[in-house]
Amino acid sequence: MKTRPPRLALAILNRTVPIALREEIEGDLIEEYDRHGRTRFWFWRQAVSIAWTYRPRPAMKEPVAEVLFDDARSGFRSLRRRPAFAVVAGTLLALGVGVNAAMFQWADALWNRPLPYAEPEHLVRVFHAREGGRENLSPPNYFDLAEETELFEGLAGYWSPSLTLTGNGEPEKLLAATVSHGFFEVLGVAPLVGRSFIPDDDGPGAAPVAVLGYGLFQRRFAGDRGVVGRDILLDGTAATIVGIAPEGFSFPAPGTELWVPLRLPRDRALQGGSPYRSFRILDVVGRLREETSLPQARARLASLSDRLSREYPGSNLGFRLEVEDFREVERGPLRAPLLLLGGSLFLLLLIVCANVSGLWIARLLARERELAVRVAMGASRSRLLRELLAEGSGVALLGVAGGSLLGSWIAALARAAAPPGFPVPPPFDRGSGSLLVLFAVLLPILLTFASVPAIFGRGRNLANALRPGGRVEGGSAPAGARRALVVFEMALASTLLVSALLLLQSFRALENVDRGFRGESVYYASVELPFTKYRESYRRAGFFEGLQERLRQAPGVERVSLSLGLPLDPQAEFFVTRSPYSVEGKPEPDSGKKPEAALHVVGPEFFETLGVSLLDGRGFDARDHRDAPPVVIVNESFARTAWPGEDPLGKEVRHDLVLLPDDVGVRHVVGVVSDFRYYALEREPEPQMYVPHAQSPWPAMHLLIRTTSDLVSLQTEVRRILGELDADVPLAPLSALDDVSDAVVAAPRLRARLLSGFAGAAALLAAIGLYGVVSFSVASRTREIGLRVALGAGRSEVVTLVVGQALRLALVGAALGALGAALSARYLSSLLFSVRPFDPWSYGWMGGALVAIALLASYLPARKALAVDPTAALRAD
Amino acid sequence: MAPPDMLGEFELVVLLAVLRLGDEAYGASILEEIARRTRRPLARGSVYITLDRLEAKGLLGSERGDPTPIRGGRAKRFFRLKPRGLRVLKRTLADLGRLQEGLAPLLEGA
Repeated sequence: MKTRPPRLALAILNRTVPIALREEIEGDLIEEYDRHGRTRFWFWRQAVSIAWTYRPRPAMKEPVAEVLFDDARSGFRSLRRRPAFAVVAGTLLALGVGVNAAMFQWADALWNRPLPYAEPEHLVRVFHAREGGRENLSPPNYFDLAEETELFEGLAGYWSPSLTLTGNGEPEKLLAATVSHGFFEVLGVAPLVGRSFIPDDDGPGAAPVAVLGYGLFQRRFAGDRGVVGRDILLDGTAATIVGIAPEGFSFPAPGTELWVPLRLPRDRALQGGSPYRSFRILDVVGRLREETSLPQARARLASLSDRLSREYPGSNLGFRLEVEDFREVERGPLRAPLLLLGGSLFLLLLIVCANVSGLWIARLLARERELAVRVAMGASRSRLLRELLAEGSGVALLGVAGGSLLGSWIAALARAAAPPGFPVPPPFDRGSGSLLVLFAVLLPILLTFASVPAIFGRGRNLANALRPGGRVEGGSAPAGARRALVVFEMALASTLLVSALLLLQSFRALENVDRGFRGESVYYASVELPFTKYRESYRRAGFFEGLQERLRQAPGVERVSLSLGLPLDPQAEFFVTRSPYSVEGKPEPDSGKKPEAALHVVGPEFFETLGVSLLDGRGFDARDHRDAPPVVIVNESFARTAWPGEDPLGKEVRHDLVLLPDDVGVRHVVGVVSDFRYYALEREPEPQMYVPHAQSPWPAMHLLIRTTSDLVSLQTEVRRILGELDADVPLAPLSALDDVSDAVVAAPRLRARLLSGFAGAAALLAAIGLYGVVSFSVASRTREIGLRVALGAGRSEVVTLVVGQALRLALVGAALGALGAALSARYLSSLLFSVRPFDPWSYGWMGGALVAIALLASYLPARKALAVDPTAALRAD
Repeated sequence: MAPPDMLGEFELVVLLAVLRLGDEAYGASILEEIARRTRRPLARGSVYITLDRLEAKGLLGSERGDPTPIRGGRAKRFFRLKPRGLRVLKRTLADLGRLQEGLAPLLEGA
């Protein structure tokens, strides 16, 4: 025997050849292999050939894969035979999935916006929490906080004034940030060229330096890296460029293009002083040490807060130090709107699913005879069920595929339409991962809904369908399922309707809030004087007085004034800080905690320009010049708080915070004006103090002009006058004052409109679903209706029969929907203004809308029912 | 399926090979005989299947031989024609002969 035959080949034979033949066949093979000197390859070939001959064969059974393929094919064929269903259902699903996909991509882009900082999980924002809001930190408090070095790896304070870049072409107003020296290091951002700020840059006497933003660097300096080390003129002061920020870095505000050191005084003498402690201008970002958790930081800051309020009760009592995850700064305001919009779209998708399922049940009912014939001819139930499932999955897949295309199309549209700097869905890179998550959630939903009819169809006794008149079955399981689906749709639509109505009312209320001033035909522009040229206050006062004087002569101009901040500007709180104050005839509170009021600087005729009514005394005019006795005008709330029941005129007010060093802060009241909404539409007016610009000549003011002429000619006129007065003073474009407050209501308006759109779509879908059910019911009850008419039922009874059914379904849905709305009220309440989440009107309107839908949906079926001819109906089938 | 006394083409081939081999008709020799004389490719498995079928039809009988070392210690299975097998074979051949009568000129021209 020369070589052993391949063992594996023998083993294969052992497995396949019947036991009775095994010995013989293997013997023959081995014999031939040995005697004729066959190759191993030959042996293998023989073995495989034999094994194939005796391969196991299932007894007359089709392979599983073929069966499934067959099901899918016949399901597809059935869809193609009646394309209307596939087209309608597929389109509905695609729309539902598409808007959800787009919304999800967008939400993901907003929520997971990559922050341009290293390890943002250790970054925190530090702020003061006070009753009813939050405040920034005063410089002395910030310096005290910065000593907590075991808590923070680094801490940086900043604020964002605008600066004017002059020289090297047109003066340009830039959005700048004034930052402490650790700013870039805390954020973990390294400059592209040069260096960031060092401690030596950050003091009152330090040489002025600046870091340029990438955009500014490209725009004004053509990307020439040689600019590092050169000087630029900022507000008339030379500053040395020390570095350039990397591309895409624009913290703290989008559009920030320049960073300069804070250079705040750290003198011990100033640290304890109450006004400086109350000057809460600094935003603070800190990087926690890796081992420090947020709760630990909170505990530590609580003890620091206690210490500060003990030592400086006047400025710190009631102001706790708080930290929050830095990412929360961006995410916090997004949460409620994203939940609202995303949740609404998801409900809409559920309604679409329910609608498609309803359509499909209708289609199954219409095909009942065909199915019954197939069962009678021997088709197995499981085979039919598989086929129907395949059909449903086909529609679902069609919808998801179409929807994802639509979704990316909508996302692309949004990308194209979004203003620059607005976060938009990324084109299929990072977002696609979360998109997968979305589909992982969506697909089972779609499949479940698509298979509902198949499952319901199982319980049917199809044999009934073959009997004459066998389809007269109002109470059958599929019809019941369809009604349940319609109730479900109605419920979801009602929930959306209530939410939309609440938001609409809230938006209307916001729009109709009595602002207390008239902003129409008032235009504004900010005017900032270069500091070096206008170092002395009389120059600043003189410039603005001259400007106002000249403008009053301009054609069409009715009133001209100045104001530090703008009413209803979201940044108003930044421009206008609060100051602790004390008034004549009132003892200081025992706690040492003084009351606070906003301190405004305004020009003459300010109240007249804004149409704010004067309640007592007089407004500011030429009498209130620099050398005149210091005066103040207070609003109603201030007068009520400070001197209840007394005449405020002539009373003395001391405000601790002074904007300019030569201000003593002691003034006498010359007028009282009515309250108006200053910080936000939804905030009740607070106590306010107004001081005349001539007595507190701040260099950066908003020019306010009430005019009868148009914006363009006004702009030209202002530019001409300003150019004549001083060509170095830049002028920002004029804007309408109403645009400021309109911008405030823009977000609520968009929300209300979007949600109304969703709710409308939901109501329409639910109406279509209801119409389908009612008209089917009328069609299948033709005999019954005929019989009733034959027995003497009148028209009104027939109508009641049809409309009653629709109303019952709609009202059950409305009741469930009201429940849903009540459950979701918690999420909605933060977006509502002056409307309670359980506003009876909204619920009432929703009920009315559902009754209207029911009537609308049953109109055609009712007409059809009235047209039933009793004799024909009874003879049919 | 063909009636029991009608032979398929491959059955005829296998029966003739068994007849030809006499006492030495077992799997390997039958395969070899058919391969040598017909000179056409042969699926080994089909020969075994056909042998089985012919035995089931009662045309062939078989008996186990002794195990031999050259076969890796495995026994042979010897086949021989049963009288009924011989009868069916004869009749099939006779049928074929009669079918050929008078076709010689045509077949030669092919």
